[in-house]
Amino acid sequence: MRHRKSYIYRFAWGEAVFRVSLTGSMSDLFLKQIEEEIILGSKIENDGVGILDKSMYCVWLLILTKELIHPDVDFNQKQPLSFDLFKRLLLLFLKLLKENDVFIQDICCYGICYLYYISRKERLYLTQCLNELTGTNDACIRNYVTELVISTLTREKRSNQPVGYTVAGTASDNTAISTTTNNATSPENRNTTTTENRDPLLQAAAVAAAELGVNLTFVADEFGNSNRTEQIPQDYVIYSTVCKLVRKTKSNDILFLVLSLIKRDPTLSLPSNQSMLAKYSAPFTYYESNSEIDTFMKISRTVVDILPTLYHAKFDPNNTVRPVMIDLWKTMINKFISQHEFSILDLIQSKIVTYLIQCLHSKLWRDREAACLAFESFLPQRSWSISIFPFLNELFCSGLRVLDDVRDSTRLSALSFMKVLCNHMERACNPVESCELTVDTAIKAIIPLILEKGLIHTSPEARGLCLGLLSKIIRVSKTISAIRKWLPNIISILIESMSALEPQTLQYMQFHTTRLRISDEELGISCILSLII
Amino acid sequence: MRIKMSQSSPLQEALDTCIVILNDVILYDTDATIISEVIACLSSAVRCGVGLATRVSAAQSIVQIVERYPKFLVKGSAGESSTTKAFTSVVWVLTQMSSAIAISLKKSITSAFGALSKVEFNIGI
Repeated sequence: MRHRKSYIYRFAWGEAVFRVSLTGSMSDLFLKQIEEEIILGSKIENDGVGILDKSMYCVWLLILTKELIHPDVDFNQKQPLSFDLFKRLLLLFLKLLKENDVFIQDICCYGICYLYYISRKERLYLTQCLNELTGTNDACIRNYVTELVISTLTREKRSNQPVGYTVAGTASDNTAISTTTNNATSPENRNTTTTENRDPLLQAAAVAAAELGVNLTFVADEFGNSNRTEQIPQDYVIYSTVCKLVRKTKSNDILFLVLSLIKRDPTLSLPSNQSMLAKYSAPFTYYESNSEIDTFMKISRTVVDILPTLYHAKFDPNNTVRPVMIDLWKTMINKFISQHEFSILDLIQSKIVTYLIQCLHSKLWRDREAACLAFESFLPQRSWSISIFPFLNELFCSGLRVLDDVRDSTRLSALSFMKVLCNHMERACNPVESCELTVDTAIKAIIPLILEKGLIHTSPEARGLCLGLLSKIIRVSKTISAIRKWLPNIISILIESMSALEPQTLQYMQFHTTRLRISDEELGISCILSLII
Repeated sequence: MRIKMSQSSPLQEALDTCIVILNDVILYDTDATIISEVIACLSSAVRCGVGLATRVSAAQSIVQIVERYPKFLVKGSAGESSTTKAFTSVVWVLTQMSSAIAISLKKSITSAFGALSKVEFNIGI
């Protein structure tokens, strides 16, 4: 029964069981059995729902949670969603999130997002329950959910943490078969309809599924605890990165927005599953306030405040984190910003540059490298007078500092960033490309920086870059009067730098040739060899 | 070969450009104090510079500047003192360090000595 792994099958089964649960008052029993198996770890083999796959539990829990959003849907008893049920569902999803299965993790992420969505909708009622439980008056159900999720994602022992986000693979034969579920008369299906001693719940599910137009068949052996062959490569960094982002931006919604965007199961990308995905995928959870009077503009302003952080996160050097952050960025821009991405970046370019400069001084190499990569992408086509000139000193000095980083990849990123910055500086000093006033002010600002900070820097890369920049600026701005007063200094430094190509050791040796018994010819040959090699 | 390599570098190109820009400077600055400042820097590089390429370039630059702008270096001009200083430095290197310097450097400094002597000769006349 390969098709039991397909999306349509799982969701149709979940819908069917949910329908039966509502009418047959079996849902509470089912939930208790799921809790016993998942939280307590007890196995109920061949009895009731214990033989079912955990992915089926997840689907059923997701459908249940999704239906609880509607205020007219009651669960078992005729009363609104209780805090107890809310908490039980949340704990179940968090427990299942640790399963080493991409499908289960995706569904759990969606379920948690639905619960967070509900926590906003029924905030007052659930908050009162939480206050009664905790004995305080300032408990907030949204924060309660966020803390629980963050705690599960980051604070537990590594072995108990969820497996984390993984790079999506391609749909395999096992996972891609979704169309066969609609084929009720396939030979494979006919061979499996003769199972005896079937669970009543399963029989009811089959009947309910038939009403939905899907022919479900259950074979007990098929639902045993099969060994998972699809082991997920472990990578915990995505959740910890998102949790850090939440702390930086002070926006809980970011976490749930990322969870709602996660699509690890390759079957999610199949065209045949898009309608299913649209129906069950997590709600869009980003919304800063519950107030009805919040306007779109107010929300947009709030979004704009966190955009520099998101822009920086978009360039995370980790290949696993980066696609998620790019998705997050695109979603935020598309949802809340009416302008084109480039236009909004233009509007907030000062904020972005300020934030990225701060990140260049971060203690974490990932932050420094991401800031360099972000600058490399951000600076081209930006305005010299708005984005660069007001921050020139900080940009140049911070860039030179990162050029001397301990990590190779960070140094390479810094070199790319500094090349972009140097291109800007060269263009600003070129009277052909910039107006005379810009060239004058640029030369007055740039030449002292190069002479006083760049050429005496400890890093050879920084010195080389500055020398190259200086020679380019001299070449392009020879007709400008502003450079004239710097000529003696520049000539002196250029003369001193002529020997910079040769190693300092050999330069020292030339003063001690007699003592070292080396002839000038031998020293010259050594210098040439050092330059050639 | 070391000298050829340094002279074919972008730094030498930038240095040549700077010396050409000096021509524009004297159009606006009639005293040409900048020429004397540059000569002072170059003479100290000839005397105390580290590295063969540096000292050769400094000597060659002195030759270029003296030949291009002699009227700003003669007696009575703003560059008189710096010319004297450069001459003293060149003579000191040729007399005191002659045995310790490379042939290519000796040739360059001798050229600078010749160029500066011409100016001094004019002063003397």
